[in-house]
Amino acid sequence: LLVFSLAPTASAEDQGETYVVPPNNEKLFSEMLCGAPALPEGCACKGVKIDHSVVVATYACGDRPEAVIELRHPASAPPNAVKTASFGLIRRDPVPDALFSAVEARVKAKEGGWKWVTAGAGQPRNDQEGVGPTPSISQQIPEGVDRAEWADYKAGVALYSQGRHEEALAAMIKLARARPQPMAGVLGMAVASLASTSPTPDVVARYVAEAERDRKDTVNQFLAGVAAHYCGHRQATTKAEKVQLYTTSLEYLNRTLPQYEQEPRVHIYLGVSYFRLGQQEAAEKHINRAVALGSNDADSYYCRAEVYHRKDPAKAIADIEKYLQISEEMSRREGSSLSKDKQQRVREMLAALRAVTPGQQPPDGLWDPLRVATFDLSNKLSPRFFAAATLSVGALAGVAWLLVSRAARRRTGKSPAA
Amino acid sequence: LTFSPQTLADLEIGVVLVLLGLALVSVPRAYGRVIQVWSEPRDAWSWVVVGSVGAAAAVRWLIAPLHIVTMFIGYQLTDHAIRLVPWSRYGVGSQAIYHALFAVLPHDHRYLLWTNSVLGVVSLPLIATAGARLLGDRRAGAIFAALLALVPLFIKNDNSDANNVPLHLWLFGGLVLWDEYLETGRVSALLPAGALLALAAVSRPEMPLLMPILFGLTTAALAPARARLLAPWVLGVAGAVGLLMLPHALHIQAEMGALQERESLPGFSGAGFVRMLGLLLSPYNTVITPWLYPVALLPLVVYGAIEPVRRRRALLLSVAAVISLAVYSMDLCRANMARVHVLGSLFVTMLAAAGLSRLWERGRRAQIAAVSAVLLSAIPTVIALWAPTNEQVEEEFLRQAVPRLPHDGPFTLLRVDGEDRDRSNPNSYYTHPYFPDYLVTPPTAGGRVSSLRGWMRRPRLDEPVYAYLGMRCFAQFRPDGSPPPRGDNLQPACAELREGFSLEPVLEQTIPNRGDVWLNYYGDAPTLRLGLYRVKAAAGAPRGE
Repeated sequence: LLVFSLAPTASAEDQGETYVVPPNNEKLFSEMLCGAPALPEGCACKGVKIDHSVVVATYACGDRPEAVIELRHPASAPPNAVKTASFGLIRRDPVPDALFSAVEARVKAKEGGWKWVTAGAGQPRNDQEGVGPTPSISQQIPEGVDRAEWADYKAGVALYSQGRHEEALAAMIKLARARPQPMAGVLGMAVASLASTSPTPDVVARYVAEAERDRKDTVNQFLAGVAAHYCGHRQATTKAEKVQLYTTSLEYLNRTLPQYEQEPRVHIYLGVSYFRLGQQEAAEKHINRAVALGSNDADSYYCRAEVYHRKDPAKAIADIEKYLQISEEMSRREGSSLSKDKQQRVREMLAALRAVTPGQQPPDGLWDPLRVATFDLSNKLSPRFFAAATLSVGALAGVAWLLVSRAARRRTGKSPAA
Repeated sequence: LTFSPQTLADLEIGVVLVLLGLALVSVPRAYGRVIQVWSEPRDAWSWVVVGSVGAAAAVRWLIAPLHIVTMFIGYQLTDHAIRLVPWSRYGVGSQAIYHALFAVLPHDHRYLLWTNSVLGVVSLPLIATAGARLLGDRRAGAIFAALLALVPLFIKNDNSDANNVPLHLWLFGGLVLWDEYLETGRVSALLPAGALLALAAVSRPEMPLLMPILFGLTTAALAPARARLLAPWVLGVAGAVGLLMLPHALHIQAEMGALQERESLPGFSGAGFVRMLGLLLSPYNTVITPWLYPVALLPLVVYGAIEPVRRRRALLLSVAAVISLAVYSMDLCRANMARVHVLGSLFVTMLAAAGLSRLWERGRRAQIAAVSAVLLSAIPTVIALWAPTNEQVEEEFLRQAVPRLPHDGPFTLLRVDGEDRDRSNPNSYYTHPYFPDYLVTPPTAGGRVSSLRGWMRRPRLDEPVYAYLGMRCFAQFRPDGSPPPRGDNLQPACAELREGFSLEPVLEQTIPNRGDVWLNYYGDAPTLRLGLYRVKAAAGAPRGE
């Protein structure tokens, strides 16, 4: 019954690709659905709302009830939708024909160059920015590192490789605290371990509280900044959440300077966070510093590609190629492990960037899409659905009860008893 | 055995959806048993039960106010119930019924409070019937019904957001049916008993642990025939209930780990159950706190517990009372003891009813003396439980403020959020920042909400912006024993907004500061200024991007 009653709530998108409206397109839709020239039949646009994969425009037409038109990806629009090259237009409430035709014409006029972003299976997204291949461990102890410290580092990397990320993180934090300037690779491994735990807002709050307890504790400032960054990247479901978390990330990462000024990781996260908050100049300053500090660090190039992919797509393409070259070379030479998924995603990103016609902007959300939940029961529930399903179960139980009672009475000639 | 949080949440929803559906059939079935117990024979005590239900309804629905308990947590609880995700640490059994009712009720905590108030009255006959059967004394059951209807602690609890109110319905409904099965052997009573007990087990975090203990003790008190207890149907239902509890138990285990890391579970570490028992003699025991529980009931509890005829039953119920009080030392503070100790207080009151029943045989003078003492000792509890608080004033203010927000267009409401905590003070992490966002956001209204700091970082004034500077602007948690800060304790985020922007009052009230009634939050200023303001950019203040 549960499966049956849930079935209608699973949209076409649940079975295949989920198409997402990339961020920063509010202006486009506002012009497309609400801008000049005036709408027919005295209709006026009341507003446009973008919700992940649906754009909803509401119109007031004199005394008539509000008219609502929805835009979706054509593949996820119902059969009765009017389809253009990039959108399916759906009438949600009584919409005057003249208004609908006018909106359809506007959509067709302005949809050129529009690209949906896919989320879910096959989506070109980066879950591990700033986290390169798991390092192979040289047998030779690096200069300036003592034997015990090296053994601890190797143990931490081994824990990470075994998927014991929290233990690996604890080991790396201990190592990071051992010196004012942590041994090379320690912060990178700390980040890798922390990222693998997919910090949630609660976890970020905990790191922030720890960081606030002693602002001079640079390691804690770093962890709070990185946790907020990854939470924004992976968990945020709205643009506002992303803005809040990246801002928090900047606040704490900036506190790690100047002590960690020489750490490429700090500049990577500062650069990417600034970029995602729209501060291109600061983003470039930090990401270029990261590349300069860690010229052989594949992730610096990967992240620089993000920072430049709108301003200078050719440079971004070159940086992604550099990322692929370094990471694959490292893998071949040192036997370090590469995430096949990530490499595949990066190649898809590269293809998407190459496909952009000169003069046009690459699609948003390539690096940092909003999280879209795949089919999950909890996100599909509304009180109405839940109440209806509960009543269905109750009704079925009631019917079953009556049938069993009747059968028992027929068999024994009295009320049902064990 | 591990599941991803998403899978666990989905499993919990599936389980509770089915159980709630079964409860629709099981609760009426339990009422059938209630009617049978009190109509065979139909005597004066049956009418006492009926009268108690009427009295409970009158007091709860016509006299006692509806209040959120525990410092703004009801707002969070309502939000969780509306969305049903993310899962609160409390589990889903109670939330589910609110969630289903929000299909037809407006998204407002007032309706959650009304739901509890109705469920409190609906539960009363089931709790009283379970009491009568467990004590083996119809008169004690009827007296218990009267106490349930009129003891202020229970009235306050029912007219609040306490999520144990649905739990009592499921738990005692299940026990009433279980008793029927043990007496008659009817599988038609056993199956719905299993459904209700399983629902009870997923209704609170402690229930996967507490429910089997209480179930065992009450079953022992009913002294069933061994064959009936070990029947294959019973084993099957027990296995099913255990399986249905599993996702909730795993969820609670994960949440407890997180809470302990955050140091929000002060009593749960190392010292274990013996320390929990120590609670019974501490000021953190509701039933020995005269301003929370009528002190005159305590001698009656003892009198009931040492009753020679039913000594075994009384002893087992005493153990049930002790355990269900002690288990809450895990997470207990002054603010929540009157709520979380209600289940334990029910068992204590059951024993007090047994004491009163025993005293009843001693003649009219003893009866009048006992009833008068109980009534007199209830007076301080009425005063304490309904003491005016700043949170109640905030609720009244909120009701006046919300209608003053725009009805016909988008707006942003700034209100204190977790992000607005005073980060220089680690204690601020324990302040409850919850706000009823659902009153101003879709589908109820067209607003969106933001923390003060979040908005101030990127202030935009291209659509109307309002700031709600309520009681949370003056609230910061302090541990017991620390004196209140001087003045109004205005929190830094609110001060920054007041200083950085021009605020045009939409509604402003200066109210007397009622201070720290349940938790230590407020300063010592005699008055506090609450306000809803239209935010305008001040000269020289940052403008929208």
